[in-house]
Amino acid sequence: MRLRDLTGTEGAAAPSGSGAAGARSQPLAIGWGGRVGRNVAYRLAGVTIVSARPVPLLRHLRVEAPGLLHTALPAPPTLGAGWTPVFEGLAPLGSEEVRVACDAGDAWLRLRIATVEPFLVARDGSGILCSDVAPEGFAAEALLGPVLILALALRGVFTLHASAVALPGGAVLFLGATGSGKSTLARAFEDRGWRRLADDILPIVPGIRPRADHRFPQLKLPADSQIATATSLPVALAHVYVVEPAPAGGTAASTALPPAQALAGVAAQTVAARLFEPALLDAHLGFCRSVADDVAVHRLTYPHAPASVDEVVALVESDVGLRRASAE
Amino acid sequence: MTGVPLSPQSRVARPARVLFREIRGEAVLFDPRAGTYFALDEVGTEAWTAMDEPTSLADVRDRIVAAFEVDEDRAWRDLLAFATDLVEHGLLDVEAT
Repeated sequence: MRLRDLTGTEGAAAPSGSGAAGARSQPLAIGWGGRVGRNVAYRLAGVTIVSARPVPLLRHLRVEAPGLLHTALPAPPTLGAGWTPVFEGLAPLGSEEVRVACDAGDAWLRLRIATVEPFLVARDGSGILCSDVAPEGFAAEALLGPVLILALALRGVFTLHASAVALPGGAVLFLGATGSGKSTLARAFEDRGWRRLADDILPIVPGIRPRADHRFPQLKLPADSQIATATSLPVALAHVYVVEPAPAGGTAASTALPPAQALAGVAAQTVAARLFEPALLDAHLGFCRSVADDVAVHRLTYPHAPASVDEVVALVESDVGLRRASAE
Repeated sequence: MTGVPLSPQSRVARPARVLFREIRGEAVLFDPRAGTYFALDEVGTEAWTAMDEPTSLADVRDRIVAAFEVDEDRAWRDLLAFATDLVEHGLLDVEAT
C-alpha cells in the first residue's frame, strides 16, 4: 500500500467556493462596459465567442455571427457585492510574472491582473465583462490569457502549458514549465519538416478523442510570429510528453507513465488552475483522467542542451513509430 | 501530524477538500490547499475508498483483508504505514477520542 507524492515544480490550485460548468450550447459573450452584443464572432476550441467589439488577436478565428443563438449573462454584481478570495499571487502572463487576484461572488468571478481594470467571468461560463476601454497591449494579453482561459475551463475546455507538433497519427504535446525546453523541442521537429502547432498555450477540446486547438494566440510570440492559420482544425492528441530536466550529466530518456502519474502530470501543467474553485478543480481532474486514459503519456527526461536535441527527437520518433528504436 | 499513535480503534475521515480520481486500478489524490498530487496503488485506493465515511482503521483493515486475501497482521502493518503517511501529508483527519 503506497502513497506517492507526484507533485512537480509547478503544482496547481488553492481555490475555494464553487464553480459550475456552463451551458455549451450558447455562445461565450464578451461584453464591454456593460454592453453585450454579437457584432463579431469567433470560433475556438468548440466554443463560439461573440463580442460587441473586435478582438484583434482572435481575428484569424472569425466566423459568421450566430444571429439566432441566445446569450444570457447573469446580472452584473452590485457595487456592494461581497467577494470571497480564490487566489492571489504571482502568475505568468506572456513572458512576464504579474500579480493576479481572483475572487468569487454570487454569479461572477472577478479577476484583477496587475494594474489592468478588473475583468468579470460568469461562474456558469456564459461570458466575460471587460471595462469600457478596448484592451490593447498588456490588457489584451490579460483578456486572452487567464480571463479567457478561465472562461473556457468553466465550459469544460481546459488549457495546457504545452508546445506541440503534428506527426503522423496526431498531435504530440510537450508539457512543461517555462524553461523546460518544450519550445526548443517543438522547433526541432519543425526544423525536420513537421508542422509546429503551438509554443506555450494549448486548449484541449474534450470528446471521445481529445483534440488540441492550436489556433489559440501564443502570447509569448510577437504578432508576426503567430503559428495559427484560419483554415487549420484541431488535431487529435496522439502522445503527451511531460518534459522534466535531466539530472546533471544525465541522458535523454522516455518512460511510459503509469496511469496515476500520467493524470497528475497533465493536471500539473494546466494553465490557470490556481484560479479554479473546488467544483471546477474536480471537473479538471476528470478532464486529466480522460487524457491519461485515451492518450499515451510519457515522461521525457531532457538535458536541455543543443547536443541532446537529436537524441530526444529520435526517442520521440521511436515512440510514435516513425523509426525503429536503436539496437544499441 | 496528530501526535497520537494510530491504533485499530482510531477513527479517521478524509478531509472534504481533498479530491480523488480513480484511473485503471490506481488513483490520484489532489490537495488544493497545498497544490500537491499523490498517487495511490491498488491497495491504497481500496483503503482510501473505505474511508469515504468516518470509520475506524480496524474496519479499513478488515476490508483490505477481504479484498486482497492477505493476513490480518500484514494488512494492519501496511495500513498503519499508509495512514501515518496520509496524516503526515494532511490528507487524513483523525478524530479525537
